[in-house]
Amino acid sequence: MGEAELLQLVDGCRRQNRADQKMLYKAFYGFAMGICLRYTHNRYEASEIMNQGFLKVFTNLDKYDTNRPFKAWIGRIMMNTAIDHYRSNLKVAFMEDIDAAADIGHDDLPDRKMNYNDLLAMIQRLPNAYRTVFNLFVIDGYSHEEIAAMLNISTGTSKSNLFKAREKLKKMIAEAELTDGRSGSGTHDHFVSITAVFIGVPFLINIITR
Amino acid sequence: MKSENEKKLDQFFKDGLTDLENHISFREEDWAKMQKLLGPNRRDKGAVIWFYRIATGIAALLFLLLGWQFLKPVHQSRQKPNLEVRTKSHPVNATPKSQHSNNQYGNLVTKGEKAGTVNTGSPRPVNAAPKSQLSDIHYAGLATKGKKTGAVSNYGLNSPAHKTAPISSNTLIAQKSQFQNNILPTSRQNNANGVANEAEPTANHKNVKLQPGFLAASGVTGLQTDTPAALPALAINKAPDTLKINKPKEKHTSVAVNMPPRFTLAVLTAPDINGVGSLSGGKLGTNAGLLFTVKLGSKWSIASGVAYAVKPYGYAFGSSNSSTYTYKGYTYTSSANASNIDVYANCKVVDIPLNINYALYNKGKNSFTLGTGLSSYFMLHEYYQFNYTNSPSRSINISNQNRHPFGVVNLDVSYSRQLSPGLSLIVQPYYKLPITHIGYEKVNLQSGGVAVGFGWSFSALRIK
Repeated sequence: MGEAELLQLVDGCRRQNRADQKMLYKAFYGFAMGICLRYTHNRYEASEIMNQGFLKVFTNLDKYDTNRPFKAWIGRIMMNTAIDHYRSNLKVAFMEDIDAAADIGHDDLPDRKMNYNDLLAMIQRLPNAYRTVFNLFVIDGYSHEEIAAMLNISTGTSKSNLFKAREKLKKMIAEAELTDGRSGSGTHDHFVSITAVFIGVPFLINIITR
Repeated sequence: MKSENEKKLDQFFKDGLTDLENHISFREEDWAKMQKLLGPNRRDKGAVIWFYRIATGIAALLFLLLGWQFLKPVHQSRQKPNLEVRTKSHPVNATPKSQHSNNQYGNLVTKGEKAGTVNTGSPRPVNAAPKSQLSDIHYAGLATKGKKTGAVSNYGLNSPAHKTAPISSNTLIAQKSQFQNNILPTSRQNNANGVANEAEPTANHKNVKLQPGFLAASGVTGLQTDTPAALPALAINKAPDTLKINKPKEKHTSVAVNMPPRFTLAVLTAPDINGVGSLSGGKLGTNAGLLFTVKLGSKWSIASGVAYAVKPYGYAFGSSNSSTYTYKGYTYTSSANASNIDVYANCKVVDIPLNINYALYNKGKNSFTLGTGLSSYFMLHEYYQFNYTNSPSRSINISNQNRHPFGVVNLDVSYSRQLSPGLSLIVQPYYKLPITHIGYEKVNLQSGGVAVGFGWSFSALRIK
């Protein structure tokens, strides 16, 4: 979308033109949903947050500074909406004991680039607190101080949550590799077993017939 | 070592999730939820409500104007001092019970269905006339309408005499001054017994009794009735020197007030040129409508109405040469991929003008009028096609979303040629200059053209 066209859409949305609102929504749907998916457990929750974010976009277009990138503005709104959602659900947030996320000592990352769905699934499997900090720090580039201010937590908690998030992700990656490996060695075992049977059975028959 | 591994892990996820948006497809159900969050399209509702409000206001204004003109008392009688007497039926009866009758203009006016007693000095009640026809007698001349008979009906002298033996008002002898002295000064009094006193004449309009002396003095010596026996015939002697009855200067009733036409209803249609910023290179559109004009005086008039206009226009937008440009009131900085846009638009508009006109020249059948005012644009439908240089074209259809109350200045000169007493040919060059940005694209949409049509002039003032 060209800049002029975007400005027309923004202007139409300012005047609550429904057609322009839909066009803008469609234009930034993937971008906004991508952000929201990273901060949530599933697509349904992401969709709820994304729509809340777009509502803020449509109702705050007058505050948009046209000299700044619109996409970044929308992204920030989506992220803030996701964080607000996280805050409002703190009571039900899953808090995992740090001991449970032990260092698996797996420093090697898989050589192949994993499917984005796999990566997203791993992120979404993280507890809310870990996932939020990991997203803010790793993907969105905020410092621990900024994260602490945004989430009303201490810097230490932010660091701790990031650590735990990493450990969990490592574990998930290891599990994924192990699963792949297991699926590969199983085949080999079957092959060995069948071969042994094929070798062993004639050998036994020979012993018996003697 | 550990830090490096962390960085590797972070980068691993960052790289994997950066192009996430390219793998997410749009879902219509999410937009449906979004629409619920946005609520009903208030803009549409607001536009419709606003349109109805404006239309209702204009209709009410026109209704008031028309109503004021129709209900205004046009009949301004110049004979206020006249004595108006109306009787529909006057069974001249002895009974003192007579209905109260109106006293218009402060004069003695009776519409008595039951006439008062005529006491002609005789103790007998006057039962001469069971009925008398409607007659209007004016005080100034004691003149009656129509046959101009001189039946002094409300004074108990009401009889069909004016029917059977019409007495011309010219021949009706009643000295005005004496009449005034004897009757009028007391005519406004409500005398209970209704007895007229010669010394202090009390001519109650309820129950009028005339003294013989008065009648004699008035020269009324006889009055023809259907029943002469009941009422002594009163002959009205001609005494033009003394009792000449003045003719009313103006007829009283059924006056057709011939006023110059105050209203003009015109049907106009025009080809007009529409352009953004100026009319040069504008596109040809059309409009047609009704214009209702009310004269406020010999020179001034106000006009309002409604017109439907189709306004196509085009313009170019955007610049790749300059780094900044202004669009819709905002200044933007062009990026490298900013593209030029050629816009073609076609708008269907309801135009409600409110103008004031001044007659520059008005002689014979020709008149020239200078007019100015404000128009309100209601954009019924807007179509825009954006042709980009760097990307495929795009079009937008918008309905009932933009309105511009009093957002356009009208300038026009009207030439009117009277074809018949009520019909005239109108030629009206006009120019419409917006004082606000028009339409979805917020453009400076100007229009100019020559309207041609016919006007029907009427005064709407004919009362009986």
